[in-house]
Amino acid sequence: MSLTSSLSVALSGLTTSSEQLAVVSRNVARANEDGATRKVANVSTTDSGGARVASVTRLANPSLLAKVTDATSAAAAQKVISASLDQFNYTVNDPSLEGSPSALLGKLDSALQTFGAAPQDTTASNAAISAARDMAQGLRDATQSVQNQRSLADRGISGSVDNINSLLAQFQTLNDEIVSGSGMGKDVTDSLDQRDLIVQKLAEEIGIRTVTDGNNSMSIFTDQGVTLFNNIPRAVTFTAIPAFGANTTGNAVYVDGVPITGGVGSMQSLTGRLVGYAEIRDTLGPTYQNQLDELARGLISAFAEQDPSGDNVLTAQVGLFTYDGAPALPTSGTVSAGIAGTIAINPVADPSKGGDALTLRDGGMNGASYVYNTTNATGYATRLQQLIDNMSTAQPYDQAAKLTNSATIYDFASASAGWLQSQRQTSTTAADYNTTLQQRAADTLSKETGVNIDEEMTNMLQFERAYQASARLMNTIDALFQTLLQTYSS
Amino acid sequence: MTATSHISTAAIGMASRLSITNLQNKLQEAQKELSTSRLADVGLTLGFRTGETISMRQEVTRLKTITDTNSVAKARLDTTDVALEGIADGASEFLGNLFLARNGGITASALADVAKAALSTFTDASNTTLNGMFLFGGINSDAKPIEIYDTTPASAAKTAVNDAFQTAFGISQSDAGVANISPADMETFLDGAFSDLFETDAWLGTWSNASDTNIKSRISTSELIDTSANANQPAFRKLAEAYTMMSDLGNASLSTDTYNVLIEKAMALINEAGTDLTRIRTDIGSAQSRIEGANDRMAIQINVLNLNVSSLEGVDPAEVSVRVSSLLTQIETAYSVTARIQNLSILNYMPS
Repeated sequence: MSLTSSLSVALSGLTTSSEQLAVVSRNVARANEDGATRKVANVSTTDSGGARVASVTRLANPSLLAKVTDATSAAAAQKVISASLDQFNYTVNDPSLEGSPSALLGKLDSALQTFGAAPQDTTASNAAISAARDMAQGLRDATQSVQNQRSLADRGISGSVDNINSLLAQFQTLNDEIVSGSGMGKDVTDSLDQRDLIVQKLAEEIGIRTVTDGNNSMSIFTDQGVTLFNNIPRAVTFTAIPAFGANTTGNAVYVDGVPITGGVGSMQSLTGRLVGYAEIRDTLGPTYQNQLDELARGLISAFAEQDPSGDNVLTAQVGLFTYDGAPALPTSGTVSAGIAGTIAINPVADPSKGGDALTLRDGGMNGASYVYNTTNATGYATRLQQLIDNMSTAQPYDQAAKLTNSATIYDFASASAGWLQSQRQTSTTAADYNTTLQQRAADTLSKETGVNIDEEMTNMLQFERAYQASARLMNTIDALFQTLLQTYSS
Repeated sequence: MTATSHISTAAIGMASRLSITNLQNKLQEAQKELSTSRLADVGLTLGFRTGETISMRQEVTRLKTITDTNSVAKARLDTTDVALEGIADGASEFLGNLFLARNGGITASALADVAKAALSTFTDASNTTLNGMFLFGGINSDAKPIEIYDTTPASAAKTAVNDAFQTAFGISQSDAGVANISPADMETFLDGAFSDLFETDAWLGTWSNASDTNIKSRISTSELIDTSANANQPAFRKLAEAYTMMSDLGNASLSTDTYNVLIEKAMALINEAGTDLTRIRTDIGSAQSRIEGANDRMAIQINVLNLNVSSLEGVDPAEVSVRVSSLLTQIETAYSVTARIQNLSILNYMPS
């Protein structure tokens, strides 16, 4: 081997060391960046016996990454559900605050009992009317709150869809770069990191699977196999609805005409924020609304005015509680959608609307033929006691409320509160669990593929030494050359 | 160099950041529990069992309200009993006077005055009010149950008696001609026309504004009982009849035999009324004791329910305070470990 070739080998050592140092500094710079993986400079031997950095690769672990992706999707769905249920929870709140529909019912019952004990007392009658007003207001507020949450969920879906589309567009740019870059043998590791990061962001919106083919191109499918990206992004479409009522049904999210969320079919995604929103909008919200509606319907029925003579010649009509379909009573045992949003105090009995609170005691809200207290006795409490009894009598309820076929209003109301809290408990536990799972997976991934500064520093020392050694070699070769030249020149 | 590191710098930082946040959240919950002695988020912890505590709380409210309203019914019953006792005392005192009169102990006109006074006392007692409600009005609690008999112009009851007397004998009660009324005629009158004045229809038209229907109260979640008496009950009518008989028909001019018919009749009525009064008072007494029983039962129920509510919603303060102090220790440890890890860098040991 000639001195010249030794010199060029030593030079290749210098170059290699500085390239390795460059990789170290890239690693250190991005040590705390999300999704940044550790880059490794792969050194190979050249034909002339020197060294060169043949390629830069990154530490990757696709199966761990897929785990993180799955956990991210699952956690995102549950987080959305539990946050929304927390909002529903304001309709029930802490039992000690006694603001739930159930507690309001209790207050109404107490007011009626007090009025029943002093039927001649106008203060007691007004108190009973005002308790009833609070009850109706409570149900209307709860309806409002449920529909607001459904509307927010619909907007959430819309935002999520926009985000998916823009992420898919960014994904395309990166994917194209990677495919062409890998073909030309460029260092595409940073782009790969970026692309993985977009996959993670996408996973927050919807559960996905990815497949990478030979030329490093990645395809994305939903967890149920609908293609989101294959060389080009597919358009994800959704039409938002501006305002929600109890009868509003939200639209589904489509990809290539296939509903992936919020519709029917076998391709419905299972996880991701999108699914959480759809769950609130299409399942939990409507179910809770059904419960509120059934509660309102139960109240309207319990307070209805029957034929006072008891022979059922007159049809029963709404009493203290009325709704937009009054005076006819809502169908028994069937949800009247949105009735909890229109339940109100009968103006005939409402002193603030020029009505007479004593019609609660005497009956007659539907005209003289419905008067129970025919002798107009001031101490008449039979009707009031009947109302109290009605509230404690089991009524039939619709299965759509997912509670019970038959129960008293009280039991139905507390069962509804229990249902809400159990949904909350389930989703919060699931959100906590999946978040922990996601953190653990992300942690493991970061441990395996992330940068450790101490290690980089150690490597740096090593490369520095190698550089110094190469430089020393060059010095030595230089000295040898000098000796040679001096020998010949003298 | 292809050796992989076992842990990344970012992972170290994230681990301590997450565990500290987690601990701080737990501490905040524990502090809340410590200050309220209740679960920080009852609904979240109890899940579907929240329905139980809500319905128990509601049941407590319900029982407390019934206990409160029971005191209203109880006061009515107590006052009613006192009034009835007064009426019964008046009746037995009058019975004593009737005995005296039969034996000639007092004159007919003196007895008539006594009877007038007794009637007026009876009327007053029957019109006793409590908080603006007439006790003996039944559910007609705003109308005076028994009209005053002796008024100017003459009350409907008085006019009816006058008319009946006039129709039977052709003279007024104060006419000296009453001396000619035979005992048999008087007995016929008393059992017939006069007694009819105290039958339901006539009684309601002239004497009484009360309702036959007693006030019903819910004294527990399941018991609905009568908690008043009313002035249409037989005792009241018989007493009114006896007092009217002696005050308005007992003219001194009546023959002794005829007068004695009056006295015998009045004594019989008052005895019957006494029995009837006792029956009413027994009913009142039993209603009182049912209320007391219901209150006792409800107090026990309230206690049990409250205990159940706090066993569901409550936390053990000792356990929570132990938890708080161990959380504090954990957080402090986490802080100092974090600080040390941050200092732990090879940079500190490298030649500069």
